[in-house]
Amino acid sequence: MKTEIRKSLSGWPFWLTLLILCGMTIYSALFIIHSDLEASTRIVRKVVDLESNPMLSVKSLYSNWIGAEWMTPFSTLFFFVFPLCAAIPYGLSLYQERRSGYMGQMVLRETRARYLLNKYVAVFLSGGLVIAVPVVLNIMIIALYFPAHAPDLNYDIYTTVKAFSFGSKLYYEIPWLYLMIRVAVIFWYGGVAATVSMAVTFFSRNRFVILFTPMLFFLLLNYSYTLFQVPYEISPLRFLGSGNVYYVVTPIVIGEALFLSFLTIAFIGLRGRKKDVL
Amino acid sequence: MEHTIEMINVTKTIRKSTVVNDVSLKLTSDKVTGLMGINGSGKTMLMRLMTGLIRPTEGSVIIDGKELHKDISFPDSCGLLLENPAFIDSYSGYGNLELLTSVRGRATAEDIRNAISLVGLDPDDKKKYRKYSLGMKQRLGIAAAIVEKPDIVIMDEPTNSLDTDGVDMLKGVIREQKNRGALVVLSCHDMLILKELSDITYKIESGIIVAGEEVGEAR
Amino acid sequence: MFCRLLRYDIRKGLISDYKKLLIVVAISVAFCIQFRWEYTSHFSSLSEASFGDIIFFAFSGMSEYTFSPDQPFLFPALWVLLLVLPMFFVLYYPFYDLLGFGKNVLIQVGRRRTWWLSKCAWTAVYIMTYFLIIYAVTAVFCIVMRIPLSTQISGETHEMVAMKGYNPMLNGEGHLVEFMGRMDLQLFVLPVISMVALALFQMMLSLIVSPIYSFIISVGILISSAYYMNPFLIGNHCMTQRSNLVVSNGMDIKNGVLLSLCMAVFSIVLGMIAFNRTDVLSQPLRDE
Repeated sequence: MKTEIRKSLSGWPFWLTLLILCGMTIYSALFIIHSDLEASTRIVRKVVDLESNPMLSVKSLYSNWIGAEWMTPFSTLFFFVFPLCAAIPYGLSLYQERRSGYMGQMVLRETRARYLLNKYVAVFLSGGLVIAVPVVLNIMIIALYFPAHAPDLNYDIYTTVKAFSFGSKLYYEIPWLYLMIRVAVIFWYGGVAATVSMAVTFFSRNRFVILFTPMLFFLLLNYSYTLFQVPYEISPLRFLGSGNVYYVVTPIVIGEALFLSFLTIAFIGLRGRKKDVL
Repeated sequence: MEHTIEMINVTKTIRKSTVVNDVSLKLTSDKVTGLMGINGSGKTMLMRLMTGLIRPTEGSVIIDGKELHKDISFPDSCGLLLENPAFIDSYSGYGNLELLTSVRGRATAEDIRNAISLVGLDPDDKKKYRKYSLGMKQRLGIAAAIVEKPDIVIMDEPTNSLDTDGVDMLKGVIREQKNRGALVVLSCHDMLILKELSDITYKIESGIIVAGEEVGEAR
Repeated sequence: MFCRLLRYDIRKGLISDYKKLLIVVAISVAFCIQFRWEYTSHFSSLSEASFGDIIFFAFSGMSEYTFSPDQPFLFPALWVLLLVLPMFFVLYYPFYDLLGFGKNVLIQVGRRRTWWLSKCAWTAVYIMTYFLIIYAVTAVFCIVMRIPLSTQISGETHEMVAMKGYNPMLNGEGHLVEFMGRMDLQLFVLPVISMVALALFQMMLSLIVSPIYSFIISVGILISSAYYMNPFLIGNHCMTQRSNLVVSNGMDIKNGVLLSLCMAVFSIVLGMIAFNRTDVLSQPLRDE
């Protein structure tokens, strides 16, 4: 498993994708900090404003990291392209190893189930990390400037977390834990997107279809929310970031991730066991 | 008419690595030319240079008196088999060649059928390409390279996936190409087979031609 | 030679790969049904609706977004889906065609320029086919639902889409203009031209970066178009809600056409120069 994980994290697609995504999250952080610096300068110039409400809980790490801001299009773009970016580093590896005959070599040396399990873990980790690391980087940069003021429910119109939103109780009571859980969920969805790509390997011989299926799947899910007027947000393209926060509920966020994880494990387990190694 | 490919001090560098190093060669259609060398020695790159698919970093490639990338972009009439052939999955062998030849419109239906028959496949076989065995795919690749009776035929590892019957078929195909006056260049890492197929062979190591010999001399 | 090559490209990259386009049929049916639901929930019957109304609705996009700390940005789901899909569909064929016997084709063609121009023409034909399918499915839906095939946009749809989407507090300096009822160029020409231009831009970028990263850039342009109302972000010209026929500071059709043409020509010329210098190596985009 160690070898598989090392392989998944050492290829140039992983590093290049990571670099691009870090570019987006760094831009988002710097833009927010720059905008706040400009606004603060304006306030200092007007002495009278010094006496006004500084709304400290709004100028907090918890309301300015990439999962909570919508001041730049990069936050939307980041969570829009995450399924594709998660699949780029290692989503194609099973496909490549099936085509090259490497899979055949490996299943002769270890059991097929073990090979698929190692592959699944490596694909999941690479997908999760490539999405979560830029988010962590963004949080670190934002934390250099914005203090971690606890959020205040009185200012909830300025945050994306409403009273009944996903993890709202934690957000207002133990915000650092809430932030960690949000990052973990982002990591989880990154992993799931990458493993969806791996599962498609058993159905398609076209590498583009394999790579893009997670994104198309989430795009269609995103549209079905509008089409069927689902009362709760079901699209990770929106609920992972700051979009449509009013209807994001915990059972959907966790349930969907669990369901998709189960589905990919079942697909890969069943199809992988039965499908001939050609 | 005799056809020639002349390479003058050709060097190709890709990402700081020299894959073909100062090669000068003159190939003519009266002799089938074989290129041999281990994997990664530069055979395929040399063939790509001859076809115009890649540009030399230094030197020039002259086809029938016209310089590639200066007078012409590609040889006027060239059939090619490079690495593994890839065709459309959902088409039959005939369908694939029909589509391929539709670009120039030079080959008739009869030519397509003949080329398929020549490589030992059935032109009336409706089997889809995706169901072909590796050997059948390779045979179709060879048919694609010769179907339009090109002046220059370049085949990289044409014996890949072929059984002994297939190698015999290939010998027949190459003989026929030579007889009709085409310039044939082959590459193969199996020296014995290559010497059976060609009249003159060149050995390549690390992008440099280290030896060239007429097969008659060796025999 | 060019026409023969284009015919080959259409056969290989469009007709033999028709299954992908079934997704477009499904999505078109979906948005027609969505239109029917939304329309009948606002108004009692479909009697005033028309073919043009459905297209107006499908490509409505969103009204201008101005940053507000209490108004999160939400990209328009249907609009994004309809425009991202063709970018994906045209992404890989030109490069897939350089594998296997595609190399033979390139050599047979004899000139890199002809090959590149044919791929550009193929891209345009593909995008036009894509939109044609959307229009055709919508027309069939109209026939089945007995909705007139007129391109006149009803006041009801204008009210349901443009007036509902418009928020004077958030929509910058623009205000809704008196709606004239017709916007044929905006509905049937501008989205096609703009998407052809973006697809050509994406194809040119694919030569420089890889197809996947060029796709991410295209998506970035579309998302930024939704975020910023700027005529240089080409997605703006594909949103009916941002046309100057709907909102006073909206996009001008002539500018949209001009920008698209400039972008297309720029992409074709730059792509041609780049392709002339490109080594055709084996990038295994797809293995058979």
